[in-house]
Amino acid sequence: MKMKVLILNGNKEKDPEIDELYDSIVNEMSKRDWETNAFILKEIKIAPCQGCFGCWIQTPGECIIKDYEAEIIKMMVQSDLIIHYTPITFGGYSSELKKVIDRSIPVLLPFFTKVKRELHHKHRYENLPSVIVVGILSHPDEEKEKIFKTLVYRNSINMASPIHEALIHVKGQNPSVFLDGFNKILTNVEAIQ
Amino acid sequence: MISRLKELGLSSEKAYIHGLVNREEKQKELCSKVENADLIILAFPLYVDSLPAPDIKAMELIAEFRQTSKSSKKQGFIAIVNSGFPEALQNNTALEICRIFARDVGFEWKGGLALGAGEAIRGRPLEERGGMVRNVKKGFDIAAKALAEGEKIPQEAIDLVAKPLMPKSMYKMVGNLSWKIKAKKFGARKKLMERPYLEGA
Repeated sequence: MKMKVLILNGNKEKDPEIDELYDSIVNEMSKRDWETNAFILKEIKIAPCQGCFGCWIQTPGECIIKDYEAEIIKMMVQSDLIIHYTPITFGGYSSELKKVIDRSIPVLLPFFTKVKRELHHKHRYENLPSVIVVGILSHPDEEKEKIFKTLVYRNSINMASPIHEALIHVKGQNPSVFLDGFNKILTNVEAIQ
Repeated sequence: MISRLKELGLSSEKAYIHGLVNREEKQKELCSKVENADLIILAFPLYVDSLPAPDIKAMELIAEFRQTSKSSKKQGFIAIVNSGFPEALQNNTALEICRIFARDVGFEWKGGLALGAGEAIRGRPLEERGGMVRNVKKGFDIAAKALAEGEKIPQEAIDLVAKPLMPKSMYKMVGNLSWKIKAKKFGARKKLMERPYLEGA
């Protein structure tokens, strides 16, 4: 079975270096012959989450807003790997990427369960995809790196993915260093399938 | 917080970010409101370990605006975040993002208040929620007094607001039951576990 990958690009500005790195990621999927759906999110109209919990209590598993997010959630559920690609924005994700992540909570159940002595939500689906979150920094910033890694770690507790990794590229650095690290994670993801 | 600051003699204006981040003229309105303030309070619910997307967009817009036309006055910034999980510490990453935003755009970070068990408060005034929120109220009183005097939010206020509203096991039990009751109103009680996006479904 071919690996299924979903790539969500939350970059907003035109930037040759960020665009090239994104292309390298997409190319890597072709080289591995993985079935890939890749989206540049600023090109798709997706409404923000209203926080109504309709996806839990009104139409369980589906958001009540009918737009392209429904297709994206379907791909999330049916993928083996999700790659988030984002400029690191004050230590977190860009608003474009976050909009899609906020709307993805129909993959969870409303019910609480204890994980690492904290309450979190149970999962609606059994087979959970791995996640790689690629963050681009415009210049070195230790505080932002730390917050970004913590955010990805916190997401990993909620999402319970088999592999959930943060990978940071600082603009101006050699992209081959980034791609080596990226490929190592891909190999690990492939190994557990 | 607004009513407390008002009692202490501060005038304030409330704006909902959701309606101010899409259209260009509204974005300008948001930025000019922010530029006019001495203290900016960002209040939001925790969405997937961070801020809701429209709030991040507001931050992006404010940062872009301030690159070219920044007010010369000293401005303070605080954040109040409310999580649907009972542990206030789940809000910490979101508050760190707010702190870095303040650092990047040149606001003075005056601290963040993190609440857990947001569903128990449900967006109502604290005064209507009884004894359960006594520590939150006390914490808000202390924070408002400090802010009105131009100080940062004291640790005592942060600790009081973060105190659990109820035992975790009770929140879990009541929460799990309440989802079923809410779903019943929509006739969805038996569909709560549906998996509409399973392959072949």
